Amino acid sequence: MRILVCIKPHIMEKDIGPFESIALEAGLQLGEEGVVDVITAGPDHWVDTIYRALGMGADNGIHILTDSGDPHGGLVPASVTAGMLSAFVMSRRPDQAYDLIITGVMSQDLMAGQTGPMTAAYLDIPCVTAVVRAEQTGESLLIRREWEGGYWETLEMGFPALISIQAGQYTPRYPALSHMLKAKDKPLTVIRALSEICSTNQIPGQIPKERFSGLRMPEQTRKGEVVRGTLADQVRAFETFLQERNLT
Amino acid sequence: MKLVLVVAETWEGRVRPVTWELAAAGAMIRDLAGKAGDRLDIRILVPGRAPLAAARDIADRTGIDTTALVWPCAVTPETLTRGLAKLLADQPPAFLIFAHTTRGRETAPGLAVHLGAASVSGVIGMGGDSDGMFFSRPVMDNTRVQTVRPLDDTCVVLTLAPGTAVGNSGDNQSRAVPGHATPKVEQITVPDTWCSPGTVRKELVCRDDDAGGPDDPGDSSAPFGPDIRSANIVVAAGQGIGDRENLDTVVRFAEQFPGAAVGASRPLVDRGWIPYPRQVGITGATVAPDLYIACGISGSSQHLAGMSGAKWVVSINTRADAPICGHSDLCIPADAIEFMDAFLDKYSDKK
Repeated sequence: MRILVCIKPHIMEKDIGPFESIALEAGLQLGEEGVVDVITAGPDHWVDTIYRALGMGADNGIHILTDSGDPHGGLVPASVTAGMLSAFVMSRRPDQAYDLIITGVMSQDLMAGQTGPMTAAYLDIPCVTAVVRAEQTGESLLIRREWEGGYWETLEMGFPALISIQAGQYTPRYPALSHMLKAKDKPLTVIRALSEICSTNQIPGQIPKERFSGLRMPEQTRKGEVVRGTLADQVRAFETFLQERNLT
Repeated sequence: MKLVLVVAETWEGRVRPVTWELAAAGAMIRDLAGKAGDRLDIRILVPGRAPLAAARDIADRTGIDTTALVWPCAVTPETLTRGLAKLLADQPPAFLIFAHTTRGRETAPGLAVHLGAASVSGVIGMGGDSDGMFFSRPVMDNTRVQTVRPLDDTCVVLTLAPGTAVGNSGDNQSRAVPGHATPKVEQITVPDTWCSPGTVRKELVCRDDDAGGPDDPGDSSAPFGPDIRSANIVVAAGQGIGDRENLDTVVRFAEQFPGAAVGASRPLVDRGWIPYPRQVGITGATVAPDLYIACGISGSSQHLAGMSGAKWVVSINTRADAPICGHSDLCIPADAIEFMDAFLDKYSDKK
């Protein structure tokens, strides 16, 4: 089985994004007997995310280089990313075609969970999101996905397919230092322009139907009175808060 | 006339309450667009194997015209995406509204691709100005809110975060939204050539009685107190409590409050530390106690939606800039376990 895992960086730490590391762990377990590639579409320094994934055990890295000069905190509409991913997948030689594409259930920055379903739509392959467990059984994939209200649904799907992984059943492995050192020797393909892999007018989603027009702090729904000081001061303030409202 | 289409959220044939919020949001969008000069009509789509009764019920409760979409196969995100893409291809609506649930999250983006539409997921607010309609949604791990503006004259597919537009359950006389006095109900049968599922359901189980999931029975014997949905006080633990052993501290802390129940955020339930029925949030239980004490919880939007009904909220978290702080009456920047230990020490001294 040949698997492609779509990753992007953590927004605070030098690491893979939290949902993407879970997706990669799922990919590494599913692809033990096969090939696991990782792909990211982003500016130069995102290559560190690929090295981290190679250190965790991925076989090949693919980096679609994009412009880093984005004014909206680096956020790009999902259709743009999904279009680039699908262009790359379609550009593969038949003997290197992917059986399974894996994404996180959402990214930590955009938090939309759109890239997976959009990529599947562009590629016209089946897609299941919020998957907590996936196993290969012969020519098909047996997956368990989560619904609201505590329901687990077991589904069977054929290949090629796309799944997005929800947290819960996979714990990302920690890359050993020796593996991290070897990561830079693994194959890395850098795509500097999409015209290298296909005719650019074939790439869908590059002219988004929506624009991002600003970022702001979230509204507060409550006063959020902050209690500073020592632990003893804080405990006292807590007790006073409860007493004043007859909550004790 | 252009349409605002709302896709009713159903589960195993039953209408889910978030549908009333979707109807209210649809009416809000219609009114906002109306102010900008676009006259829009609103309609609720009710897909299902035999959805007519549900469609009548929804029309009755909301006063909005409904369409019962007789679905030729199981209503899944996959068949909804294909079927609605075909149904709406010739005349895409101005707005198509789903719930931000597993079904809506999975259906909306693919459908937007097929319809050439804008796709806005997890909407928590909306408005209109001279530049047109705009939508707000959480980004950057819930620490920022982003404004998204669809281009003019494009179809907009959006998913609405539960709790955004408060609808009426229809249990009393007032209606969720001001619709017609006599809403119309129509029925359309979707051809079975429109859905050819690539996935097959093998099994559906409820893990309500499980601990952390089928693979982890967890420790359900721990004294976590009464049902979190009925308790007057809920002490909820999150990732910030650190190790599993620290749950003991949380339990002892909760015991200081008569009738208190211990709840948790999703990660602790996923790890099997606390049984699933104690998960607070959109994918768990919605609680409305007099006092909610959030311990080591940073406050994802899905968790916040589950606790917003609490009368008073106290949060204890190392980061004062954690999202939960803006949704607390009292925000204590401290290590949750150290704080609870200090509280417990003091209480023991008094005895």
